[in-house]
Amino acid sequence: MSVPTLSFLVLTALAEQPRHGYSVLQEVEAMTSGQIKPAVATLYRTLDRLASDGLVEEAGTEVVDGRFRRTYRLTESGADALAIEAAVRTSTARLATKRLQKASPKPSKNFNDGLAGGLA
Amino acid sequence: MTGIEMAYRVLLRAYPPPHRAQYEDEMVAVLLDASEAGRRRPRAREAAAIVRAGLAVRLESRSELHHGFRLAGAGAVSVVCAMAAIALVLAVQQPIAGSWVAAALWVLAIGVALYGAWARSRFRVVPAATMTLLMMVTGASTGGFRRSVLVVAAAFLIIAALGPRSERSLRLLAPGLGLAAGTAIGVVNVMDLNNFFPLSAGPWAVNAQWQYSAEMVSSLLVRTSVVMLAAGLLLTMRRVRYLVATATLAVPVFVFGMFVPGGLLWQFADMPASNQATVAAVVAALVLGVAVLTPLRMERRAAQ
Repeated sequence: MSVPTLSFLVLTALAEQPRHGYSVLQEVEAMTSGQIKPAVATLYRTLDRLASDGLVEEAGTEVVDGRFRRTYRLTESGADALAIEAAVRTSTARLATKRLQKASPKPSKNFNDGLAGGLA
Repeated sequence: MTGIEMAYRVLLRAYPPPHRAQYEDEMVAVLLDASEAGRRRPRAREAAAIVRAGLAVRLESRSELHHGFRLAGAGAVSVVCAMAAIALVLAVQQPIAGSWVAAALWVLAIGVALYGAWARSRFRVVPAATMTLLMMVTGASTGGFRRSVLVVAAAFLIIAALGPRSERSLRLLAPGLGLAAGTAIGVVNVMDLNNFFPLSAGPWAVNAQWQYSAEMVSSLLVRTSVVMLAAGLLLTMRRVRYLVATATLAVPVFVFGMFVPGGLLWQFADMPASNQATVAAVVAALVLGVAVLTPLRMERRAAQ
């Protein structure tokens, strides 16, 4: 069971402290150095799914400057899911690095050589 | 409310009402937080994401279509049963060549429609489609029914076959009502023919042309089906979010019923085909308009 990257990032954003929607949005952007800037609707698709899977839950509502805010926090199973996903991602990343280091001469080069030889 | 907030709220209509009840205010707040100050229109990327996500949520909440199909399926069973009952009564009254074959096919069609209402199996689609085809061929060759009726029947049968199992009350009520109505229509027809109860004469005469004919039967059937569909639409209004689904199912049937040769809904047969097309388009637009506007109105009322 793999967790989509945005779900993973949202869970990570909520790991330390509960946040409201806009704060999650800003945190995801900050964590990825601006690489991932989800649209609001996309973020809410993810939040809605995580909530219906029981990984996040509502932590309260407030009205700030006339704007309605709902705060979300990680549930216990959300924290477990995040821990598992983090472990899986770490081991996959480690494996990828190791294999790249072990790799003998670049296959793309060989392929080009072979192609050039065949065409000549 | 600022212009941009209004624009976001309009865009959020892409979501189904339950989702909006849960998230609309919150999402508007976040959208406003996320859009830079002084912006008057939503960014294209946000707008596209809202519409895409809203439609995706609608597609996912399958219960909308499920209920639409359920009601349309129940209507289909009623109409098919009514048609079968009429065909049987008329076949008893006037056993012209081929009418028994047609009647037998109608009986089989009832069976298929009932099976469609009861069973969940996908196999029911095949017998329903076969039966519809046979009915159309027989009907056309014996001249028992107009083609338009057969097309409407086909549409209903297919909906009945594809639709999920209906609720118990609908399962019992739909064929019962259909059979009762069909038998009544058939018997009144026969009585009219034999002058026991001459509908075609006297002060109560609905129409001077009103007399026993296959055409009259078929026009009655089309009217019945239209009433059924209207009743289905009204029923769905109680659960606003199912309205659109049912309207979507109903509109093609409406349009078919009006378009197909003869335009049986329009007894004024001298109306040119182009006018019929216009009327059909206007009615379809009206139905869709009601389907779209009613939820808005009801929400506004609920908000007050």
